[in-house]
Amino acid sequence: MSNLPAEHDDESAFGDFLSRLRPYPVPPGFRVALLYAAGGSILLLLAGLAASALPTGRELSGHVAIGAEQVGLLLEVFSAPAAVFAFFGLAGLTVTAVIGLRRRVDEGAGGVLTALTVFGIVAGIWAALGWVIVAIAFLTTIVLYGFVVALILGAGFAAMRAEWGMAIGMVVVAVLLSSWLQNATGNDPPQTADPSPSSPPATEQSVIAPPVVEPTEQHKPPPPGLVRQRIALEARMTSEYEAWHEVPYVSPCDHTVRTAELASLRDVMAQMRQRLWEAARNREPGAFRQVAADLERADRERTRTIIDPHGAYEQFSRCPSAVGVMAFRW
Amino acid sequence: METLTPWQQPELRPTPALEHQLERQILAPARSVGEDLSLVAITEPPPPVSIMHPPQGGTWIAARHDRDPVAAARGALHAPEAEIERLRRLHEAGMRPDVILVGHQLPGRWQPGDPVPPAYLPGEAATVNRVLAAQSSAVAFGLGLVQAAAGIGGGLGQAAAGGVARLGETVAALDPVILGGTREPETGLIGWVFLGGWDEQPSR
Repeated sequence: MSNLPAEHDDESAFGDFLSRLRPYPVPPGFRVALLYAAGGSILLLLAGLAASALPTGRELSGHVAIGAEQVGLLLEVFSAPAAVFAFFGLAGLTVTAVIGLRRRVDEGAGGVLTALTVFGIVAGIWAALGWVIVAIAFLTTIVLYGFVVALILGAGFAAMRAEWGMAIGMVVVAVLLSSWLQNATGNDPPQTADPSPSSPPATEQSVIAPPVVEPTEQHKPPPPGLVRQRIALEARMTSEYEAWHEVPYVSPCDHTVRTAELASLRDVMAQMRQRLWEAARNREPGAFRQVAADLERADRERTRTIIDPHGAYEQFSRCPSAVGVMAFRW
Repeated sequence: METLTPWQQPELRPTPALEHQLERQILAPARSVGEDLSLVAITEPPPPVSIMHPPQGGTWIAARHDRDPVAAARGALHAPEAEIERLRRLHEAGMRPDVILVGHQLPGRWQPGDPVPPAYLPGEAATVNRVLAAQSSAVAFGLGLVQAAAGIGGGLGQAAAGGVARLGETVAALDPVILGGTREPETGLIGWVFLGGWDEQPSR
């Protein structure tokens, strides 16, 4: 009896015992696990930012000599999950904070901490790979420019040794390579980034006119509306040109006159097409109205001639001509 | 909880007076909240702190709750949150034992003055070890990639893996127990009821 608390009443013994109870502390590795998970969440955020900052094919086209379009497509894949990375990074930081404040870790919380760490590292690798591809693309261009410099230096050394053939050859190669690099990096037409609306179909070029030299100093893409108008007018020019093959040429008009008329019409339409490209680039809708009006005149002339081939010559004393009814601008 | 406490007795014959005291102070309140507790021992009043070294190894410490050397060394008497809630429910139901005896199992041969190892819930310790192992593997993989790409950072991944190996070592779970005692008024003998027990994981 002497070992028992002398005056402990019921309340104080059990109540005092309960007042001394505390939950178990979390294991020592808990804080390290939290730090890993927080690091993974931050890595997810950074990966999201890095992936969203990856350049597009359009941005690359002014700086990369080889494969800007293909690299751009690849980079779109790498930048696609940027928002997902950022979202999970923010959510991961929140969840990590909640688990840290609860100071308890069960299987579910442990799984979340593990997943955040693993996903953070995977996201970091993903974004890093995207930038490695960008670096490779730039390095390739830099190496090519370095090769130009080396060729020029080599030409200089060859000239100092009086090896003129070698020197001239190296200078020529350097100039050609430099010119190609400048064209590839500085003067890419807009279809590099958006080929579908701006590159004319090959059939149109071959029917209407000789291939037109594309504008080479185009820095801003034409408005999509003008591009659509240009494509529509070019299609109309093609069909009109083809339709004029069917116009009947009666005496005194003959096959020779028809051939000359078609050649003239082909030349005019080539100029029309050139004008449409310039107008699209310079945002001149008036040129589109002008071409449309001339095509309308040609269409009316063709219809009238088909209906009354003799009457057309008798009325105007000339053979049927699309160019003849146009507004003499071409 | 399969470990038998060293003072557990197989056959108990409480006096009617002790039986009445037990029923009034412990057993009836416990039944009122759905707990069917039973008498596990009748002993002379124990000393404030008893240290026993069972033949199978380890150390048992039985101490009055306010003289517990383990709780004193750790700064508190640690219990799972669910167990704390359960004991509070018993208290609110009217359980009023005369004395609370806390039993601790410690690894090795512990003597007063020796350090008391901290302990954690085995489930949490195992989970944290698994989480850390997976996290460290992922970090080591990432560092390995960086190392392969840049040719630097050697040893970092190995260091992380080494940490995991240490964390992965397991230690046998130990069994704290809580006994509630009621004093027989005439003889002074104490009838003990098992109030609770759980596993804990001592750290190395």
